[in-house]
Amino acid sequence: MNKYITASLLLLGCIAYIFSSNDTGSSRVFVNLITFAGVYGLAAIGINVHFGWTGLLNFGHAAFMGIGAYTTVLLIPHSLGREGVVISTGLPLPIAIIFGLIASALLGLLLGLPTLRLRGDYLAIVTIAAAEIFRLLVRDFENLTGGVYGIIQFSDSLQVYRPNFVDVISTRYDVSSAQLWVAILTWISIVLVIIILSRLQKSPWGRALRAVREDEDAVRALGKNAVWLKLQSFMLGAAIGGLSGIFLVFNYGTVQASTFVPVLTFYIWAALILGGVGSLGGPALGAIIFWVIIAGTDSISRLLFESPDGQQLAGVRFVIVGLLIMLFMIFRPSGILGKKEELLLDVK
Amino acid sequence: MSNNILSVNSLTKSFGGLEAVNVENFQINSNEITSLIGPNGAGKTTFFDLITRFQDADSGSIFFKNKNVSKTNSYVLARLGMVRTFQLTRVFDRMTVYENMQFAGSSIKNEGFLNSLVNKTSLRKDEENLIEKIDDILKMLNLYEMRNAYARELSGGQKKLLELGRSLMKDPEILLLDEPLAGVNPKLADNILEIISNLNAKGINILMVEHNINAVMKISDRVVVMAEGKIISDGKPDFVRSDKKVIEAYLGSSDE
Repeated sequence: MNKYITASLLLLGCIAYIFSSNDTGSSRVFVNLITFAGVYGLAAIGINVHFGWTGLLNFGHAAFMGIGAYTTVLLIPHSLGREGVVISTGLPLPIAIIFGLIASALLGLLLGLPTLRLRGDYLAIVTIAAAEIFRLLVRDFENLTGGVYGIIQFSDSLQVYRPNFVDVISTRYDVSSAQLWVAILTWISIVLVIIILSRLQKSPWGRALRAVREDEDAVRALGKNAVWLKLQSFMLGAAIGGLSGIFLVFNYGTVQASTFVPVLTFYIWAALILGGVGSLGGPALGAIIFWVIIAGTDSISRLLFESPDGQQLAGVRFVIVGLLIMLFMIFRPSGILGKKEELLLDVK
Repeated sequence: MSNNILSVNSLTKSFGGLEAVNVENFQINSNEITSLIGPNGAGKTTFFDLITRFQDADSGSIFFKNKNVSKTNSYVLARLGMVRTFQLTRVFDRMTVYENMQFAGSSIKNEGFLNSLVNKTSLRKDEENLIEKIDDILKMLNLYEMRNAYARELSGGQKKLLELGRSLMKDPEILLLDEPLAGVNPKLADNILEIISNLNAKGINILMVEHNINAVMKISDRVVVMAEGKIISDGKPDFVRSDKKVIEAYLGSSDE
């Protein structure tokens, strides 16, 4: 129970920090932070299914997020590329999202089929490479994806569903109503996904995944198809990643190839490690703490540099996040909510 | 119909230039305890891996219950009734003893993604039906008290027992045990031998690799000796014990 007290205290500390360190527009900062934390948390839940449940090393989560986001956005009304070609017809958003999730899962299948028969390290290498290939293809197929100019003006498909109370709240607290709506939907999704996953975790399927994580050969010796179980887990985590990618681009209101750079994947891993590998709520909590740290490093940068530019900010971020992960690995390798008994140090 | 449950023809496997296994002909007759012995590096474990399809043979064929399984996947073979254990014990460390057993016993259908998602009543019923079987096996193996412990907390011997118990959840027709007595204290070893005999009496065929010669001679109906990848002797324990070729293989040539 102790760890839940720690988690609650940390969460309270994070919120207190946000409201105390920003005299003006603190609610704006809060909504911004909670949106990104939600998106990263959802993505981290996907990696947790891969790594925490099944022991699969996925270092290319950005590709799953990206393909889900691009598929969805391209299927709804949007405008594209350098010229801003307007495509005013498209599917309703919920259906487009379903196609986005399917696309992510299919990419998981495509990457998993040749690699999941091999040892874990191969999957890590292939996923890193696949994510970069995906990003470069998106950048170069400008006619289809808008390339570096990206896709804009697709947010309306989501914002037409925005209920009235969101506008009321956003006017009162002077925050962006569009972003608040994305934040609310993201966190609703997190709750739904966690409910579904908690059900799966206790089920025979979840148990089988854990067995695969522990020892694939023993799983096969007991008559179970380990490769198929790994594929299923890989596709499920990929689809969850796709959902988070969709929310990410609706939060930005635009999508370019540069949205899905490798560092996105590693930030999500950082959130997962902070929160606790293998636990259900850990990834979301880790994402909140991660984003508070990111906000905090910006004030530290201002102590170090008079007016820090983007490069200096990013540098300090890397140092602090890296240091924090090191400290966690040394003093609390199971993260904040992880189970010590299920500490994950080896990889299948 | 022959009464062979398992039959192997001209099975070979080489690693680089080394011929690890070259078995011309080998059968397991119904309801026997067969032991496979031989010096280190004789190819016993590789032979095991080939039979259970954990490794691909270079050539040769394997028949299980008169069905050609030379190209069958290892997990399919396990479903057909050929279940193995490992030389280095492989329990699911970060799962409890009970979960280890549950996983082994649960049906493939229940482990389907959709079935697990909707959590059907039939699924819950199947899971409940496992409880009695698990309890019986754990009691037989003296692991019942440990059922809620994580498998990694067990002693080496207990892990061997858990691996055996897990295999029994599959209701195997033939059980392949890779060194079931390795690293086990003499008292527990006697215990395991007794369990193996009892299983055999219940109709489960046993093929085991074991270095403890006394134990092997005591409980085996048949002893097969391997050296340098080939079967050099095969017969009743008394026959093998006095076979000159066996003594040579173990102690080196006596011609000098």
